[in-house]
Amino acid sequence: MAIVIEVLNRQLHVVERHKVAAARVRLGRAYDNDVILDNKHIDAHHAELRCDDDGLWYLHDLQSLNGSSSSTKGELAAEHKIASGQVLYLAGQPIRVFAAEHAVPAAQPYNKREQQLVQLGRWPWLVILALGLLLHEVIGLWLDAPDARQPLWSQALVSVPIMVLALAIWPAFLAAWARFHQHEPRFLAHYGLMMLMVNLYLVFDALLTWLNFNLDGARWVFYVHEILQVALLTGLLAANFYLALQMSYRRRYALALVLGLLSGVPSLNALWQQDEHLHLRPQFDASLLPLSFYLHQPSDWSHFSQQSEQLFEDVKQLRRETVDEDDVK
Amino acid sequence: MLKPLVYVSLAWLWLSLSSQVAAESAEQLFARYQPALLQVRVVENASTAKAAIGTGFVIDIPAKPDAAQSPLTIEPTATSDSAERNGSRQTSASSLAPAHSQRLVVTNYHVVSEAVLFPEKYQLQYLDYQEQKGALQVVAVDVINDLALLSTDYQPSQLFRLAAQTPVQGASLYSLGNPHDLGMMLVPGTYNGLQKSSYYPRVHFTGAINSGMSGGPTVDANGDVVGVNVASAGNQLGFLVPVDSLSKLVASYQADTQAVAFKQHIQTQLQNNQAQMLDKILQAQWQLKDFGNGQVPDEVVPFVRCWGESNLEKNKDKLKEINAFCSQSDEIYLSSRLTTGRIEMQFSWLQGANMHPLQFYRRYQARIQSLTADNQASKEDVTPFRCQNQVVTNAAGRHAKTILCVRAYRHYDDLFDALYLAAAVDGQQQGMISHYTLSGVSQPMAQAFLQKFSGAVTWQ
Repeated sequence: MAIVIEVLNRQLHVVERHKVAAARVRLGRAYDNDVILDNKHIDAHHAELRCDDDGLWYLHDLQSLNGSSSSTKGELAAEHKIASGQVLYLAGQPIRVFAAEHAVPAAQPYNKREQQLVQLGRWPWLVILALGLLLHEVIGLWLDAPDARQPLWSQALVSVPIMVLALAIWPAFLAAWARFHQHEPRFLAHYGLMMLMVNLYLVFDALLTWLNFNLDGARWVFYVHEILQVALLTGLLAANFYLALQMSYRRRYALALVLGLLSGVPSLNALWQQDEHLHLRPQFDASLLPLSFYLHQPSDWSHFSQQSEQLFEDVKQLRRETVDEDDVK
Repeated sequence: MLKPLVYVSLAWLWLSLSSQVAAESAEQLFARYQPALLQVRVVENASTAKAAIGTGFVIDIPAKPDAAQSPLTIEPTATSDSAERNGSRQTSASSLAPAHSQRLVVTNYHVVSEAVLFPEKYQLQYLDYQEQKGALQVVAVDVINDLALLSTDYQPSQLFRLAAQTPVQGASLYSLGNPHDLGMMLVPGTYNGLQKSSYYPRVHFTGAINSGMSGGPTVDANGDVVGVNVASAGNQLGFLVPVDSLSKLVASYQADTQAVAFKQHIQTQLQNNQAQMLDKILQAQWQLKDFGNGQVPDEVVPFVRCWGESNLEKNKDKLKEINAFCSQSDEIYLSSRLTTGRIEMQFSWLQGANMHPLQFYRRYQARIQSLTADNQASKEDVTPFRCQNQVVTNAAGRHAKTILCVRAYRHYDDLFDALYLAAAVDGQQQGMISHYTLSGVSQPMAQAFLQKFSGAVTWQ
């Protein structure tokens, strides 16, 4: 005979949950109701839920000013039979009604992966990751230290708190989103994830710089760099959405992938633009490290000289192609 | 006792008289030659407004065999009329060219370049001293000496003659032209010989030459043309194309009986000029000078000049450097968007004795990041650069990150701009950058230069 009444917000999320063990449940703004609804458009005695002898429930509107309905539009008949789990609107205020016998899904085990991700929000991890970023900043300052034109250490270190705050923007947004949807905010976990990805990026970037010098600026290093950037961002977003969103896993991953790939579009575009428009500036690899960082045998001069002939051939070919294009025009 | 006074008075008298004579002759010169001076206008067809202006002057040359009956021959009556209207004391007969001669307007190539390269977009017009307009047609160009010959139906009462003799240094010259479209003017100045360090012969005229006077004549006291106004370095430093170059162009125009497209002509002129210039450089015995812990080329030929600077005495920056810069900086003007012909070499020696190698190399790398062409070009004129870069072992067993970038000229065959840079990577705390740019060179010349240059730079 018991019935569960959930008071919902506009997004149909539960605000209050009441369980009433009676055959007749009064709903309204007055304090003598069984379920008191704090909404100025609801009458003092707005409606009643009644159970018949067969155990079926009906909603009776008590001739309220703003009426009751089973959807946001339209009004109910004076007596309306309701199904367990159905959403009803009293003067636009949504409520959901469950029979006490209503089945609930099976209990879910703790998600191991989720737990691992949440671990990143623990302070030891956060401190380690923050130290990683600080280390990178300090190395950068040390490398630039002999350059008199660079700002002082103290000035440069001002950028550290700014960076800390900047990195917190996206996690804060995700946490706010989750909070709004009545999930755990998990701000620190998102923040930890963010710092992890930035750390990974900086390490890979340093590795690729070294690789780039070793391979004389091979084109594929550039592509690896771009792909890595997209992959790291996609990974970050996937983990963020894993923690923050309540949609199906497939959707979360798809959303992360789409956003990650979109982030790669500007650099692809820049690559294309570079060939099309910025061609008055020569594009070459200027990475420079001491010879001891160069792992394989440098090529000899005759090889370079021979290659230069090919370079001229390439340019001639380029000229022929464009001259042909002009002719077609 | 009175003798000194007499001498002084005589000298004063002589000076005042002579200055009066000079003033008169300048006035006479201007009055006499004004009819043979034209403003040359490049007029855009669509807007019918002038896009560029310069000055031109009329000469006559013996007509080409096939041009004897051309419409460019002169009808005496019209000319004598105009001469009389202006009260010219010249008789019309003396100024008239015989029927077997041809009149040409001389100006700078850079004045008319747009009309040469884009005849469908621009046309040429002259404006004479009586504000009469007429058409001009380019018949010959010399891009190396920045000269153009134009045909016209304009019939002045006076023509310019080319001087047969070179003036002596200090001789008075008069430059004629229309600076900034302010009107035809006469600017007095002095002949100061040929510019010494320039690869291209240029007369140094001490007098104000301003834009708009380009293509105008500079004449001696007799009114004979000794040069064509071409450039100014400000502060009374003007430059003229010597009349010899004009005579050569006229001669080649007369000898040239076959009609060849200007682009073909320009291409041949560029190729020949650049081949000669680079040949001189390549054939020269390059003088090397000590530089940092190595050696680099010095002023390898007289027309390549070098400058240098260093910060060794300054304590503030831990990175010590010596820089040297050499160039043949006279450009060949091809269009408002494309110049060529420069040669530039640059050397830097860097040392950071108190720096960690990684700190040093970070600064070192920043020094080689931007490499740009030193001539002006638009993407319609040249292909994109293509580059190769490698760490290379040279003949001496030393190692350098070596970069070569090349681009081709779209409208001229076998002409390229080449940039080269080598940064030594043998040292932990010291580096040597050697760099050159060549513009408008053929592939064989560019490759020969690459070999010679890379072989000439050495370091420990």
